[in-house]
Amino acid sequence: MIEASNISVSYGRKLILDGVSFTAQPGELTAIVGPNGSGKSTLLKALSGDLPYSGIIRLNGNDIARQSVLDLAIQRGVLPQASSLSFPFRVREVIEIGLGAGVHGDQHHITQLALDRVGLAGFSEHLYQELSGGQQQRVQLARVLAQIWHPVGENGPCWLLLDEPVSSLDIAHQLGVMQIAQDFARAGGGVVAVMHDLNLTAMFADRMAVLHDGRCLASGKTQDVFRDEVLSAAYMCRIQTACLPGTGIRYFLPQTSGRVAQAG
Amino acid sequence: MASVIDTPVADPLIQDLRRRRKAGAVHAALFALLLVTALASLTVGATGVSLGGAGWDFMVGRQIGVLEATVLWDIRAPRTIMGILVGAALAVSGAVMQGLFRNPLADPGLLGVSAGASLGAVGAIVLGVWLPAAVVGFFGFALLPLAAFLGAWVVMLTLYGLATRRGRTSVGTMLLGGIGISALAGALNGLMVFIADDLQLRELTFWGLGSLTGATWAKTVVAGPVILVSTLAAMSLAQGLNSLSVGEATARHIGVDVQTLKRWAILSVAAATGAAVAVSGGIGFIGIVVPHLLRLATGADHRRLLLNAALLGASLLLGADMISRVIVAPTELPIGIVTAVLGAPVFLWILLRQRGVVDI
Repeated sequence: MIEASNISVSYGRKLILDGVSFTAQPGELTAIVGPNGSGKSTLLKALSGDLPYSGIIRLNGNDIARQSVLDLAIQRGVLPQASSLSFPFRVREVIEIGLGAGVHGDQHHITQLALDRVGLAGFSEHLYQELSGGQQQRVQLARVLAQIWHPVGENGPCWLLLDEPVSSLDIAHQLGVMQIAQDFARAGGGVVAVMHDLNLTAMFADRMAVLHDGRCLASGKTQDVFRDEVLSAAYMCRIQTACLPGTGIRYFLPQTSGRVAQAG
Repeated sequence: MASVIDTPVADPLIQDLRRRRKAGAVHAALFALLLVTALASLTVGATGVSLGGAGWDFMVGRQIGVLEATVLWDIRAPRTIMGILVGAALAVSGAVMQGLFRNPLADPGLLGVSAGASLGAVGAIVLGVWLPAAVVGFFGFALLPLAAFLGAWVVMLTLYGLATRRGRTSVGTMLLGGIGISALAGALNGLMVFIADDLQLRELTFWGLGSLTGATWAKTVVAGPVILVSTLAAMSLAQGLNSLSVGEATARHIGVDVQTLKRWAILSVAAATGAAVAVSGGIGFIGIVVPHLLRLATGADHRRLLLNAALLGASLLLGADMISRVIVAPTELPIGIVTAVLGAPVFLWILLRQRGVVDI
């Protein structure tokens, strides 16, 4: 389980996260949503151990501030919003970089499986820089998957922390990547994903947390939180949600009739 | 056996075996090149003494002449060993700095390490005359290399202190700090040149342009282990530097202790470059050209790159040293001129080829 209690993060004097508490369960995909600047990526960076924060974050029951980078790497992989490589590495080599954390066993086999998982099986000898943006993003996902290949490790469930994992993908690949994340959760791992696309969130997330202005506006099961009033207040525009007949999956349509009052 | 073209999607294990064979072949070829250049370095020179001639004399049981023994053992052998060590150190230091800064144009010169070493050496040449005779006598020939080594370390520790805040070292701050410190060291160097007498000026010029002329067994015994250990330490960072290529945050996510990696990279490069500059002066371009050529030929993986850089850097410096010995024989051209004349066009050629993809 990931438990974040009363997390605050400041950049200089500006308070980016203001006492946010957040929980994610293994076996579930938990989405963090909210408008630009609401603190979604900052919360994920704090959960990843990238930022100094006040409060306490526990990963599988242990305070992340007291764990070594290697211990954390064995338990969770992080997919950043954007990744650039400084030198012309081959795709296979990028995946192998992720294997440094201590994945034991047949590295070549895992590399191939990870590439196959993201639909890039024939690309292992391609130069990373020659791939499209979407392909590069999938290679990075394969690198993270290879790092924590088994959703449940010796120390408990492993975690995928994804920062906007579908931002430069077409709709088919968006669905594919979200399916990979959901499958990881169904196999016993945990997934926390920062999401911009609310409809994908409604389709794949078991739980969601809605941030606004550095605070958690609402959190809980997706069907409970994915509501007109919550989303409208968070995004400060009129949002109308509905349910796809016969599926139980909710979706939203933005309305053009102006902004709503600022959330408090 | 089926060709690669016949089997575009080969078994991953076979692909891996092929890659390992290819990488092994490249290592072997570079090692052979180093062996050939080292033997050539022992046999080429202004005196006409050759390794083959002395070797023949030895084999047929003839007494090897004093001149041959002196030239081969006391002059060329330490020079060749020093050439190998300095060439390897400069090339590996360049590759490590580029990996650390995630920039193909970085090298120890950019951080001011070379400038610091130069300042130390120039200070020893110019201000050494004012030191008490006992001090000069105590340090002897080691005064200049020690001063250079000290200069490199003072710069590196200052820079590290400047760029480290709350336990994290900012690579960007180091880069900018390095530019500032290089400028300051350059100005102080200029001041030394201004107050130097004619004899000192000639020594300064020769030292500034780099040379292996002064390589002796005594210097090799003192500086050799420092260069060797620090270069090997730098080479051991290959896996971490690969991780750093994806970015600092991602390297941490993968499980790399980035701060420790940076500290080792900086300290090992400062020691290797400081000791190399201390014994051979300012030799440019090896640290930039060698890693570039190798990345084009064998890829960016530091696990291969650093070993190959050591082998090719050593061969190139020995080659440049041979040219510097024979091109204006019986005198010698400073080796820095040879490496710059050969290296700068190669560097520009690389830049032209990569104009579209080099992004700083």
